[in-house]
Amino acid sequence: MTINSFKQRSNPLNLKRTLLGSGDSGNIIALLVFWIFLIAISAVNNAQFISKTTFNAVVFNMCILGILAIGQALVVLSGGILDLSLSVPLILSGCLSVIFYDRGWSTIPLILASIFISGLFGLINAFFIVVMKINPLIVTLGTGFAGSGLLLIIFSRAMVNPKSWIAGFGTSYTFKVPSAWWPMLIFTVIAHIFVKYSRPGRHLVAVGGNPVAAKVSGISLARYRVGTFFAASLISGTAGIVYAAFTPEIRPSAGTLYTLPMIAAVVLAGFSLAGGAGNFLALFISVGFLSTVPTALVFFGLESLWEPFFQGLILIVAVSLDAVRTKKSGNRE
Amino acid sequence: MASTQKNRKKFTEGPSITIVICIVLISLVSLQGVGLSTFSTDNLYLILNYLALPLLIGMFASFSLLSGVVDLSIGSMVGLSAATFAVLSTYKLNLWLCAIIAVLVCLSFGALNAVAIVGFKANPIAVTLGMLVALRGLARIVNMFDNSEVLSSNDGTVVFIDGLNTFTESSISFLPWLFVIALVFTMILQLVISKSRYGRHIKAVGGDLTAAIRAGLPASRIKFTSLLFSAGGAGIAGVLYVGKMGSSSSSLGTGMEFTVYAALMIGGYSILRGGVGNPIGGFLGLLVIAYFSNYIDNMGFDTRFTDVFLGALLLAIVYLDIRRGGDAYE
Repeated sequence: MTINSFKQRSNPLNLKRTLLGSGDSGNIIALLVFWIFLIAISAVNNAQFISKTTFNAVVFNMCILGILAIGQALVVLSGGILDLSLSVPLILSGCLSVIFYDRGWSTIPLILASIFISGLFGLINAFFIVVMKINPLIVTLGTGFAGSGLLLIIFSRAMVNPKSWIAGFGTSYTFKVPSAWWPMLIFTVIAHIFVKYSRPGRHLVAVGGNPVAAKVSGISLARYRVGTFFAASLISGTAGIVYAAFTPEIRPSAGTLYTLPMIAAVVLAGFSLAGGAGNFLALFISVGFLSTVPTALVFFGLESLWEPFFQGLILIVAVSLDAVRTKKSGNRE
Repeated sequence: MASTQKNRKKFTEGPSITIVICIVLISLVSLQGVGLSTFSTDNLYLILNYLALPLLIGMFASFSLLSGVVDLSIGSMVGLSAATFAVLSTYKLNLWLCAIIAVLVCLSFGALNAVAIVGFKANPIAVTLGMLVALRGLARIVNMFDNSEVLSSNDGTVVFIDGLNTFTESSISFLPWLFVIALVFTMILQLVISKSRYGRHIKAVGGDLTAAIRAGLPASRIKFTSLLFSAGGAGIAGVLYVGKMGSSSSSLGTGMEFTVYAALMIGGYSILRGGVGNPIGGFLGLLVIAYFSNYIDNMGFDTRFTDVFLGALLLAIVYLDIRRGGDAYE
């Protein structure tokens, strides 16, 4: 798989492949069709679905989920299986931003410090994975447990000051779209370019796709793994700032609500849990699709209680279809 | 003679010795903090009472771990089974019928897991994580249909079933009946896993799937049934929880899958590869958690410290396992 994609990328004539990534275009189109289909049946069911309110609801859902999914996707891509502890930096950075604000810090140092400190959590993960050589799934299960336990002990809740810049950011609009949506788009574009076109990005894919081959060709596995888990926590920390912008009252227990949707988004986008394969444009669309589901359910007259049921079902169907597809084409694993 | 020597070696090689050290350490700390009452029969009853149902769930779930699939949806299945049972019982149906329906509901979702994992060869973690969320949602929905005269809270059905409650709370001196049942089940399971042909087949399928298939073992069938076992166990436990607590709270079973699997991993199971671990180790792993959480309760500390301890102990035990030659992440 990895070797294949290198070959295709080196062919500049194949513009579609270069833009969309090797063999991922089918996946992206399928996801787009699903998304449009969902919007279409919701609109046929109730014409009011196509409205400014729906648009805003979907965009708000995308803001946090989209950023978190990028962090998770990097971990999956690098062969780190899954990071089950990403809700910890999310909440940590949100709570820290409140604490720093209350101490009178100015906006930029406050945001940077919150993101950086929550990024350090990723270095703890990396230490267990790289130095102690424990499997990432077990490490993040353990640190996720310990981390969210500690967060609940330290912060019972954090109140975001409505006068702060962060709270203002959550209610403001840039180019007619909520401002908080733009960081997510910027992150997606950066991640896509990084993985497709930069040397470290392609090395990361190589580490995930075939660690033995990557090691033999002189890539330091340890360096990329530390980098990935650090980056995932930094990205999740950034999502924490966006979270603080929307949430007047941050409760540590709310963080785990995001763990499944972000994994669902990554799997639905066609990232292989074995590592080394995935496309960030597909991730963007799968985040959009998953963010539309809750609003669509409301328009179908189902209470929001049904939302997790459908989220889970979509994930099961998606991984099953993905498994059948890869078995048929035989180009993964 | 040779076999006893081999057994002794097995015992010291596994995590059992580490766990025994842990239990001794916790009891020393507990003795210092709580005093002699930590060894009283009343306290022992509390520990074992807390341990009984997670042990039952864990032992059923250990089938799927051994066969190489991890079922993360067991916690939600406990919640769903409890909700189904409690809601059905408010319609004045026969209680046995309610219980059977509740377990059957869990079994059918377990079969759905198995179809995706064994039939479509989808990733077990992703599938059962999806099931976890789906069933958590479904449990809340089921709870909305309750028909009881008692004013129920918004997210749970209050039913007090006299006979079931008496059964779940009964004990022989300081040994809760449920714990005795779970322990006997553990012992039987230990025999099945280590001595019987079926046990060796499960371990073979989990340990090396290709070799097992080449040896002619019905690998798909073994994996399928193991997923049904974990679902069925969760279903039974859900019904018993309703008896114990007199209600089916929607949050029942939340996070239970992680606690149970962490404890099983402390006891020598692995969620990443099958074929390793034994029921006695799993029991000891759960005992450590139960004992520690009892200490936290007795001292009046924040119960969240149990999670912190669980996470740290999990990493420490897995690290020791790697030092002893277990699978390292290269």
